[in-house]
Amino acid sequence: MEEMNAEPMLEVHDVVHKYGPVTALSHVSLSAGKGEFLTILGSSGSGKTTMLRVISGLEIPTSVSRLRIDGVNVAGMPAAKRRCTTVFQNYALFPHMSVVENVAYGLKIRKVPTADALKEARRALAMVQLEAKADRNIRQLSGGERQRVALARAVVTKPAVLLLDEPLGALDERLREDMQLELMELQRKLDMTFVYITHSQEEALTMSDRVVLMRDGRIEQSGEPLDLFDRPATRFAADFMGYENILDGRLVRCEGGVGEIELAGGAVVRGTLVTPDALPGSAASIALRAERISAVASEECGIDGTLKSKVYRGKYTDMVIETAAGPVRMRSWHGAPTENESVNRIGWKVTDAVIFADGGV
Amino acid sequence: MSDLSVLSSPTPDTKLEISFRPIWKSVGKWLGLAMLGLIYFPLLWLVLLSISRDPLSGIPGAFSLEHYRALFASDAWHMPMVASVVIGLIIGLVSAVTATIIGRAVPKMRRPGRLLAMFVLPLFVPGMSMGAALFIFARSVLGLDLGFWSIAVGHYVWALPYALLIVLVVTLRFDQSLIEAGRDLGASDWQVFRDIEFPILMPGIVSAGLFGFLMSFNEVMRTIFLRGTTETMPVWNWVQAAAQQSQVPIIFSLSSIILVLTLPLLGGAFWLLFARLNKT
Repeated sequence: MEEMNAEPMLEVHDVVHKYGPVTALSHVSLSAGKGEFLTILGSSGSGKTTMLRVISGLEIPTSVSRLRIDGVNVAGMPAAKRRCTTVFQNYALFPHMSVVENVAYGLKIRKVPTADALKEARRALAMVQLEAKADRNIRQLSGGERQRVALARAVVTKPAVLLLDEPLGALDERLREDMQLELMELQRKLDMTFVYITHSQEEALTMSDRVVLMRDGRIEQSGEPLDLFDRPATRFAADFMGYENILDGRLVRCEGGVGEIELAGGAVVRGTLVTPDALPGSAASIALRAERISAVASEECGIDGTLKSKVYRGKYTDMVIETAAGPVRMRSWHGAPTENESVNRIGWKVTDAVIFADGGV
Repeated sequence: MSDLSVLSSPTPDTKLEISFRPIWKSVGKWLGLAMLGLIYFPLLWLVLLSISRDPLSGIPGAFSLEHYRALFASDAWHMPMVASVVIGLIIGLVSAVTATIIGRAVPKMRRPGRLLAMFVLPLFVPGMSMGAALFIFARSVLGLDLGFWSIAVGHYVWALPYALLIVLVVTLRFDQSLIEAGRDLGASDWQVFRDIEFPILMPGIVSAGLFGFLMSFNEVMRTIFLRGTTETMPVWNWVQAAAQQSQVPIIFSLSSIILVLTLPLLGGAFWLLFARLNKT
């Protein structure tokens, strides 16, 4: 991906950060181009927030070989001097300032004349549909509105990179969905590089140009949202991206990107091989999404099984199929023609299943 | 009661019921009012006596301002007043500053509990013991002649815990992420302090200063040990009252003036600390 961005806005190379004996970041490198929406995805403790703090300068890393923002070497430079701003998880709005004063603060620090700063701040507030509340006190705002103020405050100084630390975490679901769309729109309008931290795969897939999945202070996998969604390269990535079924077995054949894997119980099934260097005979797993599995006729490729349980969930029906390789979860959409079919054998399209080598974990 | 009832008719549990009688509500109300009377009546009485012609009779009446005139004609109370005000101002300022420095450090400590307990303990050390201890300390360790500065040291030790407790109200509530937000937006450490931290802590710092002033201004017990021949306002008042001299009536006037001046100061401190603080 790096060669795509002739002039990356953000370049981080080989960063290591330790909190005492704990290694929070272990030789991580990433970059983001101008106007790119990069998401760092990971669970708590994966190092994603540390990564953000290293970029913003709120944390000085133990070691880093290169850290550039818009071509400027910022390694060791204090946060205040870097051309990037952060939207904090708890918003961190200044409670003693009005909405517009909060937004204008970064401009005031840059010695912009007060009148111009306030005008610019109001324009930024208009961009997030909050100009009517410019003179309110922060306490009078709802969570979603505070979120917008924090956003306006961070973008008003026109940073090269905007860092967002789980900004939608505290909002309810409906608002979160609206804000996702708004953020994407804003990012496109400003043509600004966004680095977005989240633990939600759904947010990552919806908004990003590129996703970096982190785990235990390392990058597990990175790529376009579709790559991560459809082609997870490890068990962890598959699990994190919501694959309900991961079955273990042994790779028996690989040919032109398609792998065949022998599962426990002897069934041989096929899927797309995502680790091309895997050798036949080695341990491998196949990952399947519940909604991509369907009942098939007995002569088709798949695995025999019997229906064990069936739970109606409104929009869809969840079923558990007991197979020789273990229970498999299957989901069929309500109203689908196959909904009430009896199930003796399940199958899937080769492109809907991924096979990866079991590299230890 | 229906005969079908299998439960024996409940016998009232008198022990429990007594504590829930409605009478307690009115007892509480009247007791409270009586106590408020006990607190405020003497103060009001004092003010009334200070404008009475013959205050030593103990009964207000035949009102006149002659004792106030006598007070302003006399200069005997000037030096104690100046001493008290100057010491009070120094203590207010110094305890506000030191309480702020210590109070800002406390939230960053891993286990501040024990330290805080040690800071609060002096509030319960008998004034007499503290006075005697400071008396020895000021003379033999600090080498101070008893007087203005030894009083100031005693008052500082007395006022600082209060000032610290007040400052802690604001520093413990202060959200450290605001400092990061300020830095992130480009502010230098000094700008972050000036624009963000100080304005948010300010109500607590000012209240701590006001409290420090009042604690010092009202202090008697420690002052008695530490004063040498210097007189502070309350000590002078007390000496005059005990001496049963003709001066006594003007003490009533002086005490009334001080009362009228300090109550709003105290009210202001609390307003700053709680009403203003909840707005931010």
